[in-house]
Parts: sequence; structure tokens; C-alpha cells
Amino acid sequence: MQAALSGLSPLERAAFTLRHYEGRSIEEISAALDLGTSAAKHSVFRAVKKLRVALAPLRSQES
Amino acid sequence: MSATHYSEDDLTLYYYGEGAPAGRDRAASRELPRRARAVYRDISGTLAMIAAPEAPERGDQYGLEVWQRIRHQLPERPEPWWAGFFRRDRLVFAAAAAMLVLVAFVARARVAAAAGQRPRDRRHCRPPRRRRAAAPPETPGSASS
Repeated sequence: MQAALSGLSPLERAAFTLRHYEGRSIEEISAALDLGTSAAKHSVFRAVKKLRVALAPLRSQES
Repeated sequence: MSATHYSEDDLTLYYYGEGAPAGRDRAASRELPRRARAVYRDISGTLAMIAAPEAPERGDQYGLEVWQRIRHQLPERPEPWWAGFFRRDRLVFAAAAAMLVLVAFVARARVAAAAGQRPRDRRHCRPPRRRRAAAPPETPGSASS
């Protein structure tokens, strides 16, 4: 899990942490990271995509 | 609803309770088209695996430990201009110079005491100027004598 998270860029990790762990909205994330709403949203999307790819083997083992 | 196409990004927002279909409960994913439902299941399964890490118990010394860990990574602050006066080598030099002046003063005072005279300022030690004795006024009879 840590390896999957470390595969994210610092911006993606920050955006994902704020969204996933802290439950912040996209507007709050964009304010916290000084980004536009669209950039904050896409940082979260990229993070989720990378995590899906990285954790796919783990998911297939579980299923 | 089944005619609507949902991208992965829409479904990610949907998982987090944002975006279309806005404000719906997550159980509403049953309303998603079959293909979107499969993607949504994959996204939600992946994100559900990523649980928040549990914070370990912190001892009383935790703040100190963190400080010791990061203090070398912090940039050094520039010293104020006057801090140079209080450097150790300069203080030692100043103390040695002051000691030398004191020793010289004491030695001079002792030598002067041994010679039986008090040290004076040179201005006051000058001998008074001798005034030339005024020539006595010539009297008419003095020239002949």
C-alpha cells in the first residue's frame, strides 16, 4: 500500500490525502493547494487511476 | 439514466459523493449502467482498500524526537550583524588585550612608585617657562658706571 502511495507525485498524494483521508471537497482541496478547481480535481483523478493500476494485483488476489 | 455515459472521473467523484449523480446515496450505484457499475465497483473496491493509517501512540518526547529528526534539514538563519562581536575567538582576543593593558598599567604604576614620583600627565610635567628677567631701566648715571 505504501509502495502504491509512494508512486504518486507529491501533488497527487496531497490531493488524494485531502480527499480520501480527510474528506475535503474539491473546492477545499483547490484552496489548500492553491490550485484551480479543475487542477485539483484532475490531481485526485490521476491519483485514483495510478492507485487502481498499482493495487490491481492485490485486488485480483483478494477476489 | 442508462443512456448516460459515466467516465472513470465521474465515477470517482460519485464515490466521494460529488458530481453526477449529485447528492445521491452510494447505494444508488445500482442505478448505474452495467458497464459503469463494474468500473464503479473496481474504483470503490480499490479505494476501500486504502484505509486511513492508524496513528501510533505518541510519547511525551515525541515533539523532541521530531525536532531532532528535522532540525538538520532546516535552512540556517543568517546571523545578525552584531553576532560577530560575540564569537568566542574574538572574545578571547579582547580579554587578552584588556589583560595586557591592565598589566602594563600596573607595571607602570609600580615603576613610578619605586622611583618615588607619581606618574603625571606630560602636559603637567613640563617645566615652567623661564621668563627673561627684564633689563633694569637705564638710568642716566648707570652708563658711565
